[in-house]
Amino acid sequence: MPKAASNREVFINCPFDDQYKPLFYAAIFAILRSGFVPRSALEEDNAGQNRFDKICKIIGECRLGVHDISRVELSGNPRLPRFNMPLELGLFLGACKFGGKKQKTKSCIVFERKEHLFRQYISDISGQDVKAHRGRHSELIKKLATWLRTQGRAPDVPGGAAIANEYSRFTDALPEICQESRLRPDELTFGDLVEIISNYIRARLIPLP
Amino acid sequence: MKKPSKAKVSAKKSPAKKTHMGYRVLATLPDGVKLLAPKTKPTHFTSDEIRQTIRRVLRERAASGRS
Repeated sequence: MPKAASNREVFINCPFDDQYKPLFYAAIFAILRSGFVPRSALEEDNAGQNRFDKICKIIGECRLGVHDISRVELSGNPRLPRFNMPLELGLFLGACKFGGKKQKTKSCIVFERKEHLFRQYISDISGQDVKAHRGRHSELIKKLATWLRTQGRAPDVPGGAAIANEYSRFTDALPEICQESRLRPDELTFGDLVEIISNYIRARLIPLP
Repeated sequence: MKKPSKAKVSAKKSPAKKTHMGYRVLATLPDGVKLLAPKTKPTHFTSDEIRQTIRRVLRERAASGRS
């Protein structure tokens, strides 16, 4: 088990619907490319484990958190807001506030679609590091990579614009990778995706002799 | 009488896995970033299978002028 301060696991708290996938994939890419390990509630498919317990376990194991609360909006019939992301952000902040020595080293970045929008519905988090991605994966990568570079105290981590450029190339190649694997992109599990991205980064940046 | 000394059997060591802050390192990238091993296993393929698939796709893309 890594020491608290050297823990490089990043909990991704975001929507999992198809519309959000480009941003979710972008977050995973930026985390791996910056030398960290992405974690998500999607990583274990154990039906016997209570979902809330599973999320608490993963949050407890991650020093860092990326929380996207941009999708707290009315949807469905009847039209109701989605509160899973604010709930998990609250759990993360609560663990940091009331947890032991290891939990107190936690740090997180919060994403919204527009600057200062959160103040209209969750103003109590005003002291947190809240950034706007404007629904664009390039914006999310740039801001997330900058934050991770600070968290890892690693000046060798490339800048967000470079990682966003690499991510665009990856999304071009992903349909072919899926086709070769006889999988549809929507069939990829979190484990598949993380494995594909880490192997893609390695193969792309360290070409075979 | 002197006992015959036991021949030392040298245990075959498996190659040491590189680690960074307690994490297994998959590779060190040209810019110095250490690519760390994921915590999760893939569902639909093995690591070796997907590694070969990605290399094949990247080779084909490079050959056809798509980087």
